[in-house]
Amino acid sequence: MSLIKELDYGTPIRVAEKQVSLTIDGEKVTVPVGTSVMAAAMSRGVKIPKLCASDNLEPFGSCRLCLVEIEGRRGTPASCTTPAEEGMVVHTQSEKLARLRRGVIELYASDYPRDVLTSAGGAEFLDAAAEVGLREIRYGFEGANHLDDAPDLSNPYFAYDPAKCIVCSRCVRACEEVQGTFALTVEGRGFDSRVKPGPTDFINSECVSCGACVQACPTGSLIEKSVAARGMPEHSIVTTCAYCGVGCSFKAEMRGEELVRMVPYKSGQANEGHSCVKGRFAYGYATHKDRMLKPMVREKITDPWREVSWDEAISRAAAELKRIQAAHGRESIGVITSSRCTNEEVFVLQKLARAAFRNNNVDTCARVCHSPTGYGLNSTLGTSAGTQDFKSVDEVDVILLIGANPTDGHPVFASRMKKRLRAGARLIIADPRAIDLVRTPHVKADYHLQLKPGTNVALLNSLAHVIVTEGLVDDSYVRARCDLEQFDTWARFVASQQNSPEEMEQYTGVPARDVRAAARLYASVKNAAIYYGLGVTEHSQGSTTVMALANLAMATGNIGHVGAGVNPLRGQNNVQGSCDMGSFPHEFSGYRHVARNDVRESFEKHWAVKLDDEPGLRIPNMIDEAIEGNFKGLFVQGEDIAQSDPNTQHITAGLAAMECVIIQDIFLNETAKYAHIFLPGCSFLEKDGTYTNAERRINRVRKVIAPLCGKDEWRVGVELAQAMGYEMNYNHPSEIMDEIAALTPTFAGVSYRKLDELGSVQWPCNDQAPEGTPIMHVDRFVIGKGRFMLTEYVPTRERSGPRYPLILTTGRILSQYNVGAQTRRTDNVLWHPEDVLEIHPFDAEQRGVVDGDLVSLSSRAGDTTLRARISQRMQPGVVYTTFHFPGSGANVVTTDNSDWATNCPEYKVTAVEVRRVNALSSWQERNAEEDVAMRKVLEASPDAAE
Amino acid sequence: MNQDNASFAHDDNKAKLIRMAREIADFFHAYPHDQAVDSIAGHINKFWTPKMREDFLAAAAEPGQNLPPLVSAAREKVKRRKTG
Repeated sequence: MSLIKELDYGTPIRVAEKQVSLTIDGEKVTVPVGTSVMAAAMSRGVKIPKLCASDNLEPFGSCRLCLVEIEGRRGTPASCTTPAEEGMVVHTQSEKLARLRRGVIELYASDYPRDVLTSAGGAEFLDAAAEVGLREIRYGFEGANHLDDAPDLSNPYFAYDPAKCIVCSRCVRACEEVQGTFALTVEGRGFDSRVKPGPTDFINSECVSCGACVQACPTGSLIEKSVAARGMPEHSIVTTCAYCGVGCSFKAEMRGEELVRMVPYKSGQANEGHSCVKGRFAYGYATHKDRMLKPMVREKITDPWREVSWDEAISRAAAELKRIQAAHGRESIGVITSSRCTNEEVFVLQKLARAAFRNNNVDTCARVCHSPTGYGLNSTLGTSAGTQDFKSVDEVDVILLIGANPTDGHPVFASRMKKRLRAGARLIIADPRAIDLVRTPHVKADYHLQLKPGTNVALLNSLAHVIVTEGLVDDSYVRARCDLEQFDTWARFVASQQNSPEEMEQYTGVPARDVRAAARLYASVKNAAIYYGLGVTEHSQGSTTVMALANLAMATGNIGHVGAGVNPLRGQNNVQGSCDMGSFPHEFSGYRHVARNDVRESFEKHWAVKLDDEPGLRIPNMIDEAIEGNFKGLFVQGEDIAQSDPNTQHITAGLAAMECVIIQDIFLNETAKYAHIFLPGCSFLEKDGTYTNAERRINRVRKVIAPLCGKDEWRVGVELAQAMGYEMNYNHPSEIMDEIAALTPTFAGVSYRKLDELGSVQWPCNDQAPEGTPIMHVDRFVIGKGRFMLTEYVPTRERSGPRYPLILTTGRILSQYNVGAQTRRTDNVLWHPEDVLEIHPFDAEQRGVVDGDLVSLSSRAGDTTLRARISQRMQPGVVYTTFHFPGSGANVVTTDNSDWATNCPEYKVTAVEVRRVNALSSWQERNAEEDVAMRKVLEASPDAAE
Repeated sequence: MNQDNASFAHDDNKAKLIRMAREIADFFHAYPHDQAVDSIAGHINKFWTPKMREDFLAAAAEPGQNLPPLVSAAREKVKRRKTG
């Protein structure tokens, strides 16, 4: 293995139908119109020396190193800013050019520290000096220079040494063009010009630590602290980030067995070389001291843990599960799979339930986030997945963003979205909270429809009302592509006066005129795209809302072409995949119901076992049945339901009622406090497998280091099945994928070999689409005709009133991820050390609450205590918090209200009251005590573990 | 264990199943009666375990449930647990 060095063309690769031909160093080169001379040269392998140019940035022409000679032109133009032209004759090297370049870089070097041998980074600068043949520097350091400029070490992940900065502006432009944050600037003029993160240091600036500036820097002025500490990497392995549903590809750059840094992979088709603070820097959790590396068991959950061998742990787990089934019936045990695990691990676990447990009690944590997406999109479009690839946003004219906060939840995609918005696309935001995209540098939403929580359907019906009653329906599309009878019924339904913006305003709180204007904008363009997140799904009408979105897109002809579509932004890295892999209790992989004889028989034949034709229990049903005394054994892989699922006390009551809870995780998480057997898991760096991102893209996850616990995670499900008497045998995850492909028509063409060849594929990938399907439903819906569903607005039963007058809604923040198990164990806590309650100044004043006060947050489900943050982001009557820290107990407060179709919890609407207090809640006090008591581990005996 | 049964709100299992059926009916309420009834029963048959269906039918048969007409009608089409 060696270090992967990606080709840099110097300026962006242009796409154009028209081509031009020119001669470079005597060779004819043909490139698309708009291509720079620099990129044209590179396309033939001629690398012109450069410093300020990079092919992810627009040409800038500041370093003056890439000079060339062009016959018939005066002077020596910069090749980065000179477009290739028909008939042009270019010379990239001559004595004059060499002299000029040496002079340029000699001047840079004259104000560059000479101790480069003892510092890291700056390879590009040193390479450039070597390329131009710089051998000596004639100028000393006697005059003015920047060598004593103080470094900025405030960011935990990277350092900025201005002494090494040549003010090429690559970092500034990367922050603007790639990330879209505009945190960096060049202050001063001429010799005094310096790159600055505004009037402060990095940590206190607008910088979001995406790392784009560090990646761009050619001189080592901006450098990862891990490189400074460990030295430059010597080999790299391409893998996939384990954070959000964007699924960024990274080069894990290594020195020996040590990970030096994660660098976004330019050829990664989801992220195209960009990253966020989590994927780029927050990987330290993988080797955190809290990692649990030994299997452990205990009789009772109040006992201390005892380390045992893998064999003993798996034998015990199998024996316990068999004992429970013998005593309480086949249906008394089940499995919860994780959207953080690979497709292969998920597939093995659902097979464990169906083939070894002989029931369909398998559910996934997607139950509590995007299950309504599957139901809603399947009901209308016929497939439980988004319609586009991320690249599609580059062509969009209008974005309808509803219930999603991409700059925090899906930052790399948000950067792409912002780029398109800066280029002129229009933006409609529907969100109860003023998210960053409402107004951020060079982006301003045309409409922020600040609706009341729980009224998404009312708002979408009123948008549809305007589209239908004002003649904005794309009739030809609807006639050709959709079921006309269903469309007519739907059109009559939404056209009724009760769905008008004026009528719905009483529920939504959104002025009717804004709704009308937004509807006209959405329906007025060729390419309108919907992007949504958990603010759509985590409601009592989550599935209804997804259907309403699909209705809107179909009515306006916005399904089946680039720049359009309905796009769920999935929360965790493998939400799409865990759903695809058959981990819902009613369906096999590829979303096929267990009652379908043909499908079930194909699995029975392959697995050599009779399978249940009835749906199994969903997660909430498992907990309910446990409390009723009917469900006694549970295997949870990579999920922390005691923290992430709603109504914590109900969840923990269910867990406490079980006889055997088995947890597999990298940490002793909240759920593990209720477990009897703990099996250590692997971080993404220790895995081989695949993740499927929000655009249905199947990406390879490659093992970077050996499993710290000594066992591949996928093997645990296999060995548990074997211990229970069911033969499951694989030698490598690729064999699991082969089985998935053999049994799942939408994955029929997927193999590790193909993924290695193509980089990734988007399902469906089969004989009809051997290289995958970037855009779905292009000529027809997969079900034939698009189905319009009636989406009547039904208010949630969760109502505010005198006792609980406010509405709590929950969400996420950039620096933390989900339950925080990973990010809390990194320096990301510097940005978000605790969950806080955002409250509007009016509500705060009424309660005598000032910023930073400890406040009690109480609901019908429970109460907890957090610090208040006064915030204008909220509308009066609505408060907001995150659930990244277990001790803050956000889900002690949320209720077990759920989506009518899928039981996805209604996290986004809880009636609450807030009052000043000076102590933690009784739940928090007990939780703190239990944290100590229920996590106690006995000293390991010398021969315990393998 | 960190349990305070008096402090958290939760319906018992049967009440919850009745509530779930009502919520399913609320969605299909917009459809013509017969289609709505079929869809409600179809949804329950597709997604609920046999035991949940049996528990629901038992709860729905208890006096005083005051079920919405659509739920009452859908009961007849909810599949019973297979015997044998």
